[in-house]
Amino acid sequence: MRCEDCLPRVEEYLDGELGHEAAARVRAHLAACATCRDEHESLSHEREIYTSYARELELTPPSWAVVRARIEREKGRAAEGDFRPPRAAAPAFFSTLFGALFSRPAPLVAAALLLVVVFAAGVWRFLPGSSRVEPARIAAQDAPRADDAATPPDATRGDDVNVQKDVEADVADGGTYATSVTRGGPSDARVRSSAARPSSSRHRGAVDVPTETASASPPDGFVREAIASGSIENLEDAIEAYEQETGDAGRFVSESSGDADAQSSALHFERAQMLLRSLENLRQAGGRETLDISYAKRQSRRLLYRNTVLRQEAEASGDLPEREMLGSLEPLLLEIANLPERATQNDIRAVKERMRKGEIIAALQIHALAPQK
Amino acid sequence: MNSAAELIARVREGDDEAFGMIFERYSRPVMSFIYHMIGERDAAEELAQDTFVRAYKNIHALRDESKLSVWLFGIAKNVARESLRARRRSGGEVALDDAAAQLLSDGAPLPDNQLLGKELGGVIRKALGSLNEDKRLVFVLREFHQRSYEEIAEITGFSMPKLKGDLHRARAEMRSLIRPYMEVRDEV
Repeated sequence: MRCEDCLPRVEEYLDGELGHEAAARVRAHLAACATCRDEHESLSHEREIYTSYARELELTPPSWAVVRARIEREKGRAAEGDFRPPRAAAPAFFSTLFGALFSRPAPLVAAALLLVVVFAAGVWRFLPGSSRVEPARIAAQDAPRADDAATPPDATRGDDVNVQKDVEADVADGGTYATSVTRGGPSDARVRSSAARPSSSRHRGAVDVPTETASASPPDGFVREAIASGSIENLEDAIEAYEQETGDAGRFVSESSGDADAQSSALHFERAQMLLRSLENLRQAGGRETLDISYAKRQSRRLLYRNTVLRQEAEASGDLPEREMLGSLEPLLLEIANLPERATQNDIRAVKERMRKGEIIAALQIHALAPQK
Repeated sequence: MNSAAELIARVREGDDEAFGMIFERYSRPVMSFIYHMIGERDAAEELAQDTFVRAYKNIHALRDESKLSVWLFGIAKNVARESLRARRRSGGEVALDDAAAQLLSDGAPLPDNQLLGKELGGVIRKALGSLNEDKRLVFVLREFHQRSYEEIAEITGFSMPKLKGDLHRARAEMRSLIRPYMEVRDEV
């Protein structure tokens, strides 16, 4: 092993994250190379400092009595039917509305949700400027820096390699999606849809959550706020938080019951709507020429996988309207997934134009209002 | 000692004392994690409470009881991020409530005898505050909570390449900020 191979792996070696053979090679090299050994010792020393710091930090933990009292209050509210979303950001009006909605059937919930979203967006647009939520930063907070060149060999700044590797990993383990992946431009990994296989219940980077609570539940107030803010980053985080905490994931999970299928596709269309609306609201901040849409790409890729599975299921069950809706949505998701990590205004404009021409959001709304089987 | 699965089962049957035991077990690390993400002790305490209240309400959503800790940290991550986001929207900044860090931030020259353990803690906190959110997240989970890469990926939702890249860059940034103080400290 050479130093240039060892040095990038020393961190992982110290973290205990190298495989057995790789760790053995690093260990052997460290025994023989003073330079790499110095680096190892330096990193070890830093680790000791951080560990000591964390150990010596004195923080008064929260009181169980206080937490218990809050839980009791929540129980009391639940017993009285006064619904409160997990996040306190939702205004009382929406809280009351959601409380009423949760006792209604799923299609009515979806229809009411759409009305609420449209109403909220309309109110937000006409509010005075001082009350408008400033769009969160769109571009990445860490602009490319000189030290980015020092990243480990399998991590690239643009994450295009990550897209390719993620998709290839899916193909390799016979997972969610059969794709052919090619490299397009200098910073572009293209994903092309080909034959799809049924999804495995695999989701990258999230704790498994049960789907028995999955329904056409309206997104939390925080998610609606994220849509209105025009920030893809906020939307991504809000959806992830909502799903992670409530178990209302409904993605990459195969449901057996017909009701679960309807709820799963309704949730899928809902998510697609949220993504498309956020793109619609996307605006460029502060004269930047490009926008970081890595979150939108990631979300679009997830939706694309799910879309393909649902389309296959719709074909198998003979549900033509569902199949057509999913078929209309798929090229748009593909286009978003294929955008560069840093999209130009023209890139975004092209997607928005396609959305407008296909009237895809309206079609999703109408489809959601149609009676479920 | 009650296992996580046993405690969770009891909570789901309505045994709040079992949730109290979960709280006792995890409240310190959760609060420490939130504190390092947002930089304020009082707010961290309140957000830690929020975390456990949310966890209680959604305990039914936890499918794999063996991942209770990861799940709790996932909720804590969301709570911390929402707080940071709310502050950005209101134009606020993450404040450092550590007196030593305040002293260091005013640009005044430091007497030689100040660059010792406690102050280094302030330097570390200040350096943490200078990291962007993603880097701070993976750095704190790895260095202060010794989470594996897989656990960090589950908590954060990051891909492995992004996680590794952010961690590497975070370490480099932290090193560049604390190394001068470490060198002076070693000389004393």
